[in-house]
Amino acid sequence: MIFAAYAPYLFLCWRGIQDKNAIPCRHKTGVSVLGRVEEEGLIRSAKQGNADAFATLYRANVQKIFRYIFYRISDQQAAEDLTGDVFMRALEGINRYDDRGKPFIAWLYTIAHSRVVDHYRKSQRRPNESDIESVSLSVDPNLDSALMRRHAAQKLRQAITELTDDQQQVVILRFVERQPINQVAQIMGKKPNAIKALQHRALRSLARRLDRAGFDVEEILSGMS
Amino acid sequence: MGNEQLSPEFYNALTECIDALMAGERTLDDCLAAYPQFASRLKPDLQMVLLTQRLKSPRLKTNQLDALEYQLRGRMMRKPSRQFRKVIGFPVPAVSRTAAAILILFLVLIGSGGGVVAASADSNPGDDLYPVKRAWESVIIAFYNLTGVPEDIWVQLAETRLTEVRILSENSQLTVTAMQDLREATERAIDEANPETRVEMGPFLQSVQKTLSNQLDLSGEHAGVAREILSKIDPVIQSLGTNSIRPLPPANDDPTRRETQSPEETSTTTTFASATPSPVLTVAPTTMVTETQTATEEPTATILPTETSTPRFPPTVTRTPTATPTGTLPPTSTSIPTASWTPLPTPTRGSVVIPQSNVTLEPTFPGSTYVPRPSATWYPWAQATFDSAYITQTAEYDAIMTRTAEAPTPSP
Repeated sequence: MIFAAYAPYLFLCWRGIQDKNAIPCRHKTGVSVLGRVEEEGLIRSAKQGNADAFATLYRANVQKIFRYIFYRISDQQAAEDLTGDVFMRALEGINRYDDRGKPFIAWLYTIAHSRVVDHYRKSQRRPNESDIESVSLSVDPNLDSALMRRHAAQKLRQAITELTDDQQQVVILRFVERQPINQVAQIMGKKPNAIKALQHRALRSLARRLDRAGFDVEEILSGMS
Repeated sequence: MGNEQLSPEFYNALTECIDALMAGERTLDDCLAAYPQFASRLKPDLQMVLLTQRLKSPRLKTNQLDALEYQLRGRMMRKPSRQFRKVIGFPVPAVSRTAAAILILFLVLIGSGGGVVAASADSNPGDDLYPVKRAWESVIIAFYNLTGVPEDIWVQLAETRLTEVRILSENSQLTVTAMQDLREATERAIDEANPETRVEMGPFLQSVQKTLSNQLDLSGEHAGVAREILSKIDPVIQSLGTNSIRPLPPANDDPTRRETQSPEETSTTTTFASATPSPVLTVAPTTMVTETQTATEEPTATILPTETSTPRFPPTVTRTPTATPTGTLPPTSTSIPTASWTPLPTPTRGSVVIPQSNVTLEPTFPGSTYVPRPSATWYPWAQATFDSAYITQTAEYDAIMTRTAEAPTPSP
């Protein structure tokens, strides 16, 4: 009779232990693709204080968050710091996290976005379009194609940072992280048709900026091929 | 051109081409060929997609990853875990809400259940808690079926039913169901008895016989059930033999004179205990079993402590080590200071004296205290309490008797 009453509690404890033991040991590779069910189990374990579970979630998403922040602020050192800050904040708020059907990375992107905005606010430094246009970027026709491509890459990164927040997110999520439309829509909290229109506006803005800077995108692409 | 850019078809075409380019399924020329109406606007967009994808994305190095992970783990170690939450100064294992609710409910049921069972011990048929009492008896029986049934458990049950019948009769609330329960319990006790316990049932059967024959005012269906019970127990009583049951004392029996009886006199008494009430002695018809206690709360029982064929009342004098937790006989025939102890047949040391149940113990020697024998209950700790008190009292009595024995023996 006593065991029967304790059975539900023992089952719940066993469930927790089972989740703890089910943590995949792939965090050492730095790259891990987590399925939705697997991710939910890791989140549940992390909420219970399992350090290994949170470490696995960290390893599976840290590079994406870093790239996201880097492309938004174009400062690698600052991006490294902000990436650590994002996961510290995620650790503090893991108990309050509720996926609501969205992937865990969506929540991390939200935290990263707010950290980037705070970074802009603190640094009071965000190049606007007028500043870019006034800068004359000399393009020497005799410049080595490799160097040209390097310059173009720098300019492109800079141009990305000059987009609006939504356009930045679409470019990074769609073209850098190669996320599908529906996933990007879920992360950004918008409809897929809105994302389609947004990506077009972002690409058109990038093209205009590079053209104003004197870069021939077709020539650069032909040199890369 | 502008209209083409705003049309959903263009956006869909752009999305499809972008997905195909990123997957490597199509080239730029393939996409332009697939949508010639949108080619002029698709081309710059798709070129930017290709250029963006060719950007070398920076990566955190392994040592940077490890360093950040180390910081995170350190933060988790310092962070109060959900597994242990300090409550009132000491850690309490944290459980999920559901498990905590189940645990609390279980503890409440156990605590309240125990209290209800204890409260039901004195309930009688018709009381609200009587079903709890019967249910608890069933639990005890089921438990004993697993661990081994005590020999006298059925007698205890029957005695409980007998007590209930008496109480109901006193309150004019006797029911046929209670009588039938008594019959079933008595029959069960008889059927389950082995040759040893069968003899020890004698006092109980006599009590039943006496109760049903004289003490209860039965009529109608009650009387019919009573006759059934009597018809069942009479043969058993007769078959128990003359040496196993002491006769009932007469009504005017003086307990102070009983000490002069001799064991021979007692053992040869074969008179079947008739229904002669003895208002003086309030001895319950219990067997002299020291291991178990089968006493029933019988204020009007008239049966003297039985002198069974067991070694407890040997007809001959035997020496008993004083270290045993039993009473010892005084060396002389000096009257026992208390009327409560069993009258000693011979004034010799060594006979085992078993105290009677429900005997009114008079503190006749220094240091003695009244220790009422508990009634038959399902709570063994009551018996343990009595036994421990009896041992103490016996030791004191033995010490006094030793001093008395050392004194000059008075002339008879």
